Amino acid sequence: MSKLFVQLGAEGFLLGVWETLYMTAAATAVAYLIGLPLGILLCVTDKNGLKPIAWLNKIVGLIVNIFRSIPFIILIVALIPVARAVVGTSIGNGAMIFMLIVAAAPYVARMVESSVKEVDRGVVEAARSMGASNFQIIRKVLLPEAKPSLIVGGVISTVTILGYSAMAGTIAGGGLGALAVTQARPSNAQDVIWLCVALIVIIVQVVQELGMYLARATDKRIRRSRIKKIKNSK
Amino acid sequence: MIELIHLGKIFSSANGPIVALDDIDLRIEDGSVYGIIGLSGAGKSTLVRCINLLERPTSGQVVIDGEDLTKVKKSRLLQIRQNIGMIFQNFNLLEQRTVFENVRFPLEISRMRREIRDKNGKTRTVFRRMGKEEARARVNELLELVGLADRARSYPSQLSGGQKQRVAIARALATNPKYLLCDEATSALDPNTTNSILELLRRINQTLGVTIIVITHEMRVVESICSEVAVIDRSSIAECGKVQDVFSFPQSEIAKELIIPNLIRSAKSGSGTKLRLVFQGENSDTPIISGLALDCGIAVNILYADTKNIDGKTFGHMVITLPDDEGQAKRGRKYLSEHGVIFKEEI
Repeated sequence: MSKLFVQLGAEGFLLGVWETLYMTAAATAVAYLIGLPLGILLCVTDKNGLKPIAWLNKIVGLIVNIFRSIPFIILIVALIPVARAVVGTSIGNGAMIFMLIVAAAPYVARMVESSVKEVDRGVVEAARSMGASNFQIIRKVLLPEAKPSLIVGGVISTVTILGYSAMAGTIAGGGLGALAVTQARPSNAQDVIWLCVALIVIIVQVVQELGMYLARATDKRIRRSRIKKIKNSK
Repeated sequence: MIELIHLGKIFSSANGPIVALDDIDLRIEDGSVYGIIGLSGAGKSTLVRCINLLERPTSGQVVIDGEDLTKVKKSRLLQIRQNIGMIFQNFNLLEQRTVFENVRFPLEISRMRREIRDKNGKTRTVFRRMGKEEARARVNELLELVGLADRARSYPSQLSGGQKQRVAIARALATNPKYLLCDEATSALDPNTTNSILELLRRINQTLGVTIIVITHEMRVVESICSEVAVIDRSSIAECGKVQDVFSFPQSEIAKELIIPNLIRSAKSGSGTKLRLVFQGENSDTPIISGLALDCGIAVNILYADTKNIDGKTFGHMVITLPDDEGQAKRGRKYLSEHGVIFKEEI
């Protein structure tokens, strides 16, 4: 057992776990606050959508694509001055959450877009034939019908953000990533690194299983295989 | 009454404009069951979607009860749509809602016209959403009507095709519409289920007085429930009229092809003078052919014969060949006229 391992103790590792969970949860929640409406907007303004607005769809799509194509580690570096302006600091968990949100919101938007697009167009047409307004269709048809798929998307997004949070830990902030990279590696504490890896794997597994269970449990269609378990992610 | 006036729809595509509807004129009287029949791609689905403006026509007018839908405001259009129910080939139920919740859906989104009495005892008209209890009663009543009261808590994925269509019908009727559009509503169903759905539609037409517009490619759907029919071919109306008239004497090539395809085919075989006989109602029970043989001494050859039951009346088509002998042929025609059989020299 390395010196660092002993030094950290259960408390040190628990703090890492807590920070990781907290950063991930906070970033995911805010990313959804931004990404969900954005994803719906992308869907609605699509040329086959409820209200096609080509220019708006193009602009939002372009912005989302730009952010999604920047590798996260580079995005962090680029965002340091922005974080300083917005959060007031470029280090620490607050700054880290800000960067995670910027990186994850466009990702979530695409996730949501693909889920909502899966909703049968015929059902939307039926709602329109009953005199439903676009807003009613979004609230009462698109979102409820896409719910199982949205939950699956949420799981995938959460896991991705969790991975980002570990990466972000190398630059600033805490969590298991920071523990492994900034503390354990310099002092060559291999056992600390392995325990961090194991803890991250466990967290991902729990999130994954819980999310999938929730998705299945809320889906009222019998053919469960229709939920796409694996989606194309970046 | 629904009137389509010079209705046109042109879709733009990468390969240039596609004319889906070309100068359609139709008038659908209240209380009728109006069939619109045509081959796939003829434009019938686009036509029915133009009636409630799911597709906006590129020219012409859609006039429902005197109101031109192409000119009304968006909010008014949504209101009018509540008066036009619609059912689909693929049912289009909300998969995540129970049968009960599906039927309640239109009640959740629409505001109903209500007469209320205010404090001064005056009645005024307001539009408000139906209350929970009232909606529940209405949904149960509808499920009773379509015979699915016991499946209220089921999800669509647990139902058969016929049951799903019944739910869709109940849902379409929730807001008490005056019109019901059926877009290939039985095309995904087997013959027995089709019959039971058609029976239900007939009952809705007769007991609730709902005007029904049926889009289909199946002749038997038109035969069994429609009072009037329009035949649509390559974006235009080829012919329209009362079902018994159009079915007895189809004029256009496409109508003949759709209504009496086998007759046309069998009439092409054989030689000699051919006659097409049409039996309608009262004379369909008279033994005409035996009469020709026994009373006139003419041997006729039957190339084709078929009877159908339309709206409770038997009517039939027959193609016969007359002997080459002029005298005999003349006697044969005379006999047919005397017995009130309608016949045409032309097939």
